Amino acid sequence: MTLWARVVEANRPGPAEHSIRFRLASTLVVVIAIGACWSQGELGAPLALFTIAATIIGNTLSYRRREQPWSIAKPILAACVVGGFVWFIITVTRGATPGDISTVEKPLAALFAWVLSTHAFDVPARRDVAYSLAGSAALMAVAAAQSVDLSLGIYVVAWVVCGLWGLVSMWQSMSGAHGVPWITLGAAGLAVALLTVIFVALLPAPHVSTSLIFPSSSAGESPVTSPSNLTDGGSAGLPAHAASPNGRTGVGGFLGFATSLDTGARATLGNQVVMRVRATRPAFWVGQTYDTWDGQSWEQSAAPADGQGTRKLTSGSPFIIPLTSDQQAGLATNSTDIQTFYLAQTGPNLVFHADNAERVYLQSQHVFVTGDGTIVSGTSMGSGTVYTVASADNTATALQLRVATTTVPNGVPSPALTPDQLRRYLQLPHPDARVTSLAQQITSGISTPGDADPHTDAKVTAIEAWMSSHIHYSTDIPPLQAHQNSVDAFLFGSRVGYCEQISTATAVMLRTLGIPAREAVGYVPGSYNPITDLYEVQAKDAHAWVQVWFPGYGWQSFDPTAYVPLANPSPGSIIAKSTGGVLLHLPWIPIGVAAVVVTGAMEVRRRRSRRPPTWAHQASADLERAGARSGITRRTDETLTAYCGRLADTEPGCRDELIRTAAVIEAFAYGGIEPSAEQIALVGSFARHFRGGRPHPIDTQARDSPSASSNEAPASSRGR
Amino acid sequence: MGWFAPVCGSIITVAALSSVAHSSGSGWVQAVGALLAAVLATGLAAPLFSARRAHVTCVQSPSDTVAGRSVSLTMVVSGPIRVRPVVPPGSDVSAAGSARGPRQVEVDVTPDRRGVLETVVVEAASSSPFGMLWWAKDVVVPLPRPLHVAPRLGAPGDAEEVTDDSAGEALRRIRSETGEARGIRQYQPGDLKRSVHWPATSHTGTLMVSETETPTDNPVVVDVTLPPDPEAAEREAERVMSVVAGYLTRGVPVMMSTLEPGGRTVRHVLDRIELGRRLARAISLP
Repeated sequence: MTLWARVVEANRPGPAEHSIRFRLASTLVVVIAIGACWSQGELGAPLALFTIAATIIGNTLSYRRREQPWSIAKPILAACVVGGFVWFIITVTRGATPGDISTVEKPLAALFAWVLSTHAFDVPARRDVAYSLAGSAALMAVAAAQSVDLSLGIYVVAWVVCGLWGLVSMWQSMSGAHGVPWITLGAAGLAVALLTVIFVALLPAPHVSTSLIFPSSSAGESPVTSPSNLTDGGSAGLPAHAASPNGRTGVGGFLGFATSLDTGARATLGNQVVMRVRATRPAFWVGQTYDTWDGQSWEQSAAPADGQGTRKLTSGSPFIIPLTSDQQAGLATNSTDIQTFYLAQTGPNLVFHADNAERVYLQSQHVFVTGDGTIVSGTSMGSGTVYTVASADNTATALQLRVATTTVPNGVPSPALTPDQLRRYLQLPHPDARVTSLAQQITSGISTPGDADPHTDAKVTAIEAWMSSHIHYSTDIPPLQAHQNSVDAFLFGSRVGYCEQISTATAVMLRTLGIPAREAVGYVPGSYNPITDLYEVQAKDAHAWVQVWFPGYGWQSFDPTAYVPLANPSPGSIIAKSTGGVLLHLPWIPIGVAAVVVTGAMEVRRRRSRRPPTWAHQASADLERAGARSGITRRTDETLTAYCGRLADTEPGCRDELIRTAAVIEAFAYGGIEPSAEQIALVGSFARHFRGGRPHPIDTQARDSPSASSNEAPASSRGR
Repeated sequence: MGWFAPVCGSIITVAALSSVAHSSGSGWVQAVGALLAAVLATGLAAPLFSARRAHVTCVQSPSDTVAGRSVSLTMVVSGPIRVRPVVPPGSDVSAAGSARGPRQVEVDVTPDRRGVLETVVVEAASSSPFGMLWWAKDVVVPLPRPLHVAPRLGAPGDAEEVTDDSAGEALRRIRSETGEARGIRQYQPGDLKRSVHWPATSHTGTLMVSETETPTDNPVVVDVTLPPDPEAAEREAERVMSVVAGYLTRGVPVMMSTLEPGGRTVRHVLDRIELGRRLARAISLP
C-alpha cells in the first residue's frame, strides 16, 4: 500500500456515532478544559466563552448531521484551523521571548481552544469524537503548566470523571452495551486513581530548568523609594509591620519583617499560605538579618555593614546582586539554587532568597541591596507577585566548617572581616557575666588535647546540643516587660520559648565567645505539595535562626530550634491534640447525612429480611403471635393444624375459622394448592384480627367454595 | 486494532508531558501526565485481563448443517467480550449487554467444508472498559453434540456404474438388507459378516447367518471413494451428495458404502439427513 493510499485509508470517514452519552461527555471534557485554561488566566473571558459556545453548538450540529455531514464544512473548518496556526505563529514570533516558555503558553492555549472548538463542527464518527476527547488533554496540560495551587484540582477531577464517562460510553457504543455501567465506571475510576497515585509517587519530582527564563510578574502598585519601607505605610492591618508588645498581631505575617525584631513581643501565626515556592532544594529563605542587639530587640544598623551602604540597582530584571565583602559565595559548593516565589498574600517588600542571591528576576524598576545582603523590592509586593532568585549555594559541609575558626584570639581581628564588621557582629549591649559564664561552661569541655582554641563549628554544635537538652519549645509564653533582658530571662528563667528566643540566645552566647553571629529571619520551606511541585509556605513557617561567619565560607546558617524538644510533649496530649485537629476538620455534615442514609438503608433491609416471604408465612406468624400472647407457644414439632386446634380450645368461637385457616395454609405450603385471591385475603384478614384479639369470621361463601385451590391467584398475592 | 500504535502513542504522550513538566518544573503537568498514563494503562491493560478471564461455553447446537450454510450456536459467555467464530468462521457477536454475569448469545457460524465438528474455535476479545484496544484469545469450545456438516449439493450428474463378478467378501456388490427376516441358515460364501447370527452359531457349532426374505426393493449401491486431496475429496463428496439426493428424491432406495474413521461402513441411506451425516463422516483413502 502506498503512502497516499494509507493516508486516504486513514482519513476515510467511519460510521456515524449515535451515542449521545459519548458526545455529551466529549463536549463536556472540552468545555472543562477550556474553563481550566480560563481559570488559570491563559484564556481571556471573550475567547473562552466563544470557544465554549462554539464547542457546544458544533457538537450539536455534528450530531444532527452525523449521517450526512456537510461536504462544504471540511474545507471551511480546515481553513479556520490553518488561520489559527498562522495567527499563532505570528503572535509567537512577535511577542514571545526566546527561552521563556510562559510567553508561548497563552497563544498555545488559544490555539488549542480554537482548534478544538472548530473541530467540534465536524465530528460525525466515533473516531472524530474520540479525537475531541483526547485533544482536551492538551488544553488541560497547558492549564496545568500555569497552576501553582490546588484550585485546578476541581477542573482536573471533573475532566477525569467526564473523560472516563466518555471512554466507557465509547466502549459501550462499539460493543453494543446499554445502560449505565456504574460498576464498570467505578472500577475503572478506582484503577485510574490507584495508578495515578502510584505514578505520582514513583515519578521523580520535576525540577526547575536552568535553561529558561524564569517567571516574574508584579502585582504591586506602589513604588518603594527607600529600602526601609518594608510595608505600605506601616499599616497594622498588613501582614508585616513593626511589632510592639501590646500591639495587634496581623495573622499571615511575621513580626520580624520590619526594621526591628522585638523578642519580647508574642505572635500568633496562622495557617494561611503566604507564598508558594518552586525551588531546586529546600533551604532557609532569608528575608533580612539583624546585627544590633539591645537586650530585647534586634535592629539593623543604620550604618552600612560593608562600608558601601545600600545600593540601588536599576539595571532591570534580572538584577545582578553584588556580593558584600563578608559574603563568600561559591566557595563551599558549585551549585545554583533556583527559587521561584509565588506570593499568595501581600507581604513585606523583601525579596526572600536562599543565600547567596546572585540574580533576581523581578518586575520592578529597581531593587535595593543593603549592606548585609538584604534585598528590598522596588515596588510593593502584592498578592500574585512572582519573582525568581538564582542563588549560589554556599552551604558548607560539617567537615569544611570543622577546619575553619573565627574566634579572635587576644583581640586580633580575623583578617576576613573588617574591624568595623567584627565589632558589629560581636556587639553586645553590656557585659553579661552569667551568659558569658554559661557559654564558656558549655564549650569548655570540647577542647581537644593540644588545641587550646576549639573550633567554631564545635562550639556552635555544643551550644545547639545544650539547647536541645535544657530548653523546651513552646509558643505559649508570656510577653516580656519593656527593657527586660530576654536572653537573661530565657536562659536563667523559664527556659521555654520559640525560635526567636532560642536563636537570639544562641547568637548572644556565640558573641560572648568571640564568634561573629547575627540573627536571620525568613521562611522555612513548609510542606511540599507533590501535585504542584511547590513548597506551600504558611504564615507559621516564618522562622528565626542564627548565622555564623566562617572565613572562606561566609555566613552559614544554624538552626538551634530544630534540636529543641517540645515543651511537655506528653504522648497523651499530642494524641489528643492530633485527634482533636482531625475531628475538627472532618466534614461532619456529609458524614452525618451518609450515616443516616446507611442506617436507614440497613433498617429497611433488616425489616425486609424479617418480613415473611409469603402470605402463608405472614398468617402463620400472626397466629403464632396471638397464641404466644395467650401463653400458647407453638412447638417445633407441631403442625399448624394441631397448633390451631390447641388455640381453638382457648377460643372456641373461632374454632372453625382456625381449623380452616390452618388447612388453607398447609394446603398451600405442603400441597402446592394455591387458594384464590379472595381466600388469601380472608385468611390474612382473619389472622391479623386474631392477632389483634378481634376474631374475624371467614366469609362463608369463600369458605365453602372448593374452587379456592385455583391456581389463578394474581401474582401479587403469591408472596412478597 | 494492533497494540503497537496505541501503546507507542501512549508512551510518547506521557513522555512529552513528563518532559514538559521537567523543563518547566510544573508539578500539575506531571500530575496530569500521571493521570493520563493511568487512564492509558487501564485502558490498554484492562482488556487483557477481561479477555483472559472470559469463559465461553456452548449450551445448544444443532446436529446437522450443510457446508456454506450459517448455523446458530447458543453460547454462554462471561465477561463483556466480543465473540468471533474462527473455526468455522462466522460473524461477530457482542456479549456486552446490560445484564451482569453470564450472558447467552447466539453465534452464527458458517462451516465451509463438510466434516463432523465436535468443537468450534472462537476468538474472545475485549476492549472493556475504555474501548482503546482489543485484546483477544482463541477459545476452543466443545459442542454439546457433534455437528455434522454435509457437503454442498454439487452439480447433478450420473454415477459411474461398476460391474463386479467377484464372490464372497471380495464381492463389491452390496447385498440388500431390506427384506423381512425369514430364518437362519448356514453361512455361504458371499454372506456379510454382519449377518452372522451368533446365538445360532453358538447353539449349532456351525457358522449360521440370518436370512431375509427376497428384497422388496432393489437398492442402488453407491460406493463412495474420496481422493486424498482435500479439495478433490470435497468436490467428490458434493457430487455424491447431488447424485444420491437425486435418487432419494425419486424414491430409489440407496445403499452407500463409505470409509469412515471406524472403518468401511455399508448402510442403507434413508433420507438426506442420513446422507449428509454419512458424507460428513466419510474420509479419504489413505
